[in-house]
Amino acid sequence: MPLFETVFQEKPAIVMEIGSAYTKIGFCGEAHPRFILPTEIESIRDVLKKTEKNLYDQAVDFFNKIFFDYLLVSPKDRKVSFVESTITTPTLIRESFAKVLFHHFEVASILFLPLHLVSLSTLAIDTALVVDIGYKEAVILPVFNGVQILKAWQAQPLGGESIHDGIKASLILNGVKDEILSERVIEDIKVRTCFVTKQARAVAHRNNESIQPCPDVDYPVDGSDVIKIPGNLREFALEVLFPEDNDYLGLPYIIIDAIIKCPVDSRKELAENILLIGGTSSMMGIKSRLRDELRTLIKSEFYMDRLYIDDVKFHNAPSKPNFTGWLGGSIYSATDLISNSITRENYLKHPKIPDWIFYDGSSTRNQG
Amino acid sequence: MDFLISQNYVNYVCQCGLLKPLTNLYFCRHCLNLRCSFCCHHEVDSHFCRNCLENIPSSEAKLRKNKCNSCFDCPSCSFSVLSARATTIQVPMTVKEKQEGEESSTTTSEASSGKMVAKKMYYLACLACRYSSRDVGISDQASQNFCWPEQEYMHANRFNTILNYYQALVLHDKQVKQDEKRRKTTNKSKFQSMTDRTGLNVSAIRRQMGFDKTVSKPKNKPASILPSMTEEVEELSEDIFTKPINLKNITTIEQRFTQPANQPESVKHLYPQHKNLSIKRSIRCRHCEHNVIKPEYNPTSIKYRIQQFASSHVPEVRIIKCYPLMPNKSAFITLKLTNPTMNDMTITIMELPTDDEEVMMIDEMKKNFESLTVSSKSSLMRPSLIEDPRIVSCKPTAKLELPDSSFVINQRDDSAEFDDEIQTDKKDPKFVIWRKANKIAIELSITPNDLKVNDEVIVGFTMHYTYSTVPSTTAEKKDSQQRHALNARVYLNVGNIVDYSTK
Amino acid sequence: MSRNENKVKIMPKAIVCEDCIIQGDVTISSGCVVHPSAQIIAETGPIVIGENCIIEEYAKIHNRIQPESPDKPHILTIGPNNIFEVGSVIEASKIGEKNIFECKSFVSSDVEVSNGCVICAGCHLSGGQHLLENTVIFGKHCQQREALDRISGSHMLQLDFLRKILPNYHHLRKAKQ
Repeated sequence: MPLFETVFQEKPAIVMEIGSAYTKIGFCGEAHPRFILPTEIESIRDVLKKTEKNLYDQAVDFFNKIFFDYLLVSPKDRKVSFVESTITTPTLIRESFAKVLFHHFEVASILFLPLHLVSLSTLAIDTALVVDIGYKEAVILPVFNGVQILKAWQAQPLGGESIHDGIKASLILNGVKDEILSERVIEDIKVRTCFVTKQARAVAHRNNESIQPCPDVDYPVDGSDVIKIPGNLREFALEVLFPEDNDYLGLPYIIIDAIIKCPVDSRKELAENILLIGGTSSMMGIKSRLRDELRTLIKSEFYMDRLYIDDVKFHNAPSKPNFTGWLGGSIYSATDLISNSITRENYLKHPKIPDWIFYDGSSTRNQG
Repeated sequence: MDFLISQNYVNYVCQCGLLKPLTNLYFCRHCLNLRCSFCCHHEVDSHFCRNCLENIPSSEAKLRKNKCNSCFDCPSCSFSVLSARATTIQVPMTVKEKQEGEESSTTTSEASSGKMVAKKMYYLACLACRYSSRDVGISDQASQNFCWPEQEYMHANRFNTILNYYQALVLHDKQVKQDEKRRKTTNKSKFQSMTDRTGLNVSAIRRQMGFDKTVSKPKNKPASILPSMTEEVEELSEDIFTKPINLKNITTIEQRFTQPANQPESVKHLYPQHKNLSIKRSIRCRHCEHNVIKPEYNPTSIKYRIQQFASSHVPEVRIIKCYPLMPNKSAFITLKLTNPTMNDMTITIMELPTDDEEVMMIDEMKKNFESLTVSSKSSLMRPSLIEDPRIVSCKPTAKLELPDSSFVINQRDDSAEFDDEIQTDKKDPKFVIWRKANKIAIELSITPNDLKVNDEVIVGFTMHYTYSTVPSTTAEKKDSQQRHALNARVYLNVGNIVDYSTK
Repeated sequence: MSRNENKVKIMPKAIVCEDCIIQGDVTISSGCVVHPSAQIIAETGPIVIGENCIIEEYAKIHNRIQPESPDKPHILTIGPNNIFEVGSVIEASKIGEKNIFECKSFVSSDVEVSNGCVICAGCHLSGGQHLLENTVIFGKHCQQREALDRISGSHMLQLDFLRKILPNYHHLRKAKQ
């Protein structure tokens, strides 16, 4: 059997990363996704939310769109790879997706890839501290020598959603009407006007020192109104990611927490291999701010004698941060590893998707 | 008129249990059942560009990454197509042209070096948002169909190196494992190693057992992909604190995502994007694998090679009028039934199945399907799966008084279309009001349940109709026609309860 | 209407079809083309339309800005070379030159339009704003962009054509001052 058989197969596998805000889709072995489109599955943001259509039907509609409007392929007998945050993806969602793809679209196989791990392949390294700042939450997972250190996993609801809430609240305080501030407008304001400020200015702002604010922006909303985005909002809207309170659960803190939970021997290497992924990490200035914050923390009294690391270093993946995970999936799916995926035949015999607890699909049936 | 069409007052139950208007349903001639887009299998039939209507074979479409070569989407407004616009510029004659010119017109040898020639140049412009390819610094092209400069992806090389490295790595890993198997060396470790170089399977086990360090690494990583960790990160420029920003120069997130590779932040980098292709899709019944819809290949044609729309096989029910509805009081509704087929139909209106009966129907359907797939021992074809049939979500809120007899609707006769005469047949039962060609109007009595004002009144019935299969080939005689007795479940939304207290 | 009719000033060489509705103190400069069924209504103050403007069918230019004092009505001045396409409704407070108002666009009275702007088809613009030069308003959400390179030149051709064709099929209003 030629070993390259699956590599040069007729039909390239479809690689998807369905995020809570945006979905990245494309084919394996390609250097970037073909499309990035808003995720149109309402329930994905909140599984328990009551919606008119159930998750299954929503997923059918969305995949229909992906296959026939965007990727233009017959899903039947295709291989599909999912890049997903293994730990935080609700079982209900992955089971539903598997059911939709196997039952409704009759795909040949599905490969679930853990987001944090596969992101490393874009750099060809096997040790890194992966910081995924997405829409719903920031998830941090150290990977050492190709092994995810689950013990050190950290997650906080710091992401696009909390930023949007902050922007909306402060604009309403400024007297902007609630109706015109749709999610789309808020996101646009965030993307086009906001940035992550420097540490020194953030500290000054926190201490109510007077600093020269950055210029205000007149933002036209849908042609019906022009609202003023104050310089303070532009500069400090993203401070929600860096809260300074007694919980110590800001982004820099949980990064340090993740490192500290790892064995001492691995900490230095992890701290010098930080990889930022996820849509929110495309924000301007976030990397330099994180570096400054982390450096301060390392040198702080509290961590000085516990951490034993000197410096932090960041990686630049050959991609935009919002599709680094997808790219990892693209690399993995282009190799022979895709033959490890769950095939349709196996799924029909045991309709259960293996996960951290049941990694063997066959074992689940015996246990009922 | 819009409210008559856009709202679905009359819904049929598809075999999968979904309620849809007749126009959204298909009729599988082989299973003699209603199908809808949800319970059928969709396939990509052919690729085409919806702008230039060029038919592109699927292999070529794959090579072109599902993009049209000649059409471009506007990267700025992304809903319109860029059109090539011509300008004329004066260019000095090139040496080559000069020579040609001299050869062709040897008599006029006045072609001095300073002679200017008018030349047509093309650029791309969006007629909606006034974007033009000049905005982003693409120089004008000499030919309309000339390949516009393709945008390069800066990480492409690095990505390819990494990809090759990983493919080699996985391959090596596999080879090593195969070698070991062949040599039948006993595994040094007592435990089965579930690790491999990629770390993918590692994720499956909860505890790491460590790599088998004896396994040699395939080859050193190419230097070009060596880790790029850096202390230097992009610093925020000081300008942002002092200089006002111009929103018009910053792209929106939609604009960024029209170019997923580069996601430009400045409008200066919005390059024309090749237009995505579209597809024609064929729809296949999951039960019998026959097509219910198959379009013609030619993109300019809107016809079908196979079309099994339910509206041309199943009698259509329409509401003509309905008297004011009050709770627990009977009211009359007038329905019009149309026979779309070329054969007479006998129609009986019956009760809807009860919940238990419905469950039984679903079970039977599942059994039938299983037996079907088992009996057809075509092992090459993997059995198709069907959508789990569902119980109809809609519950009638009124009682329908069933007519006491069945009735016949005449066949469709195109010539009778022009008869104005309304025929009344003495033999018809009382509830038939009139009949005309292939249409019949019947009056039924309904009694809404104990509902509140403005509640929707829904009645349902099972329509039992006779259906004759049309011989598929002309060779078959008319005698071979088979008559089938089929059922369709119909739900009517006849209106809301009126507030009688005000009347 | 008849009272106001007298106030309409049509400069020589302007082509104004008789079927259009012009009310109030309206000045139409030379070279303008006003199609049938166009409406120019000077309700609260005069409207002055610059040279070589095209006002197409069902376009409505309406000055209804309440003046601060009755003696000093707000004058809606429209610069030269503007195009008001079919069905556009313009109530802007000031319009510069070389603007295009596409079909079914709407500009409310608190908007000031400078030069070289394009309001794309169906865009509704309101809320106090001043459009900078060469602004293009487009799309469902009235996005703004700056046009660096204007497609120009067709305007004069169109004017020439209309000047030739319109008199053949329509009665024209006489120029009067």
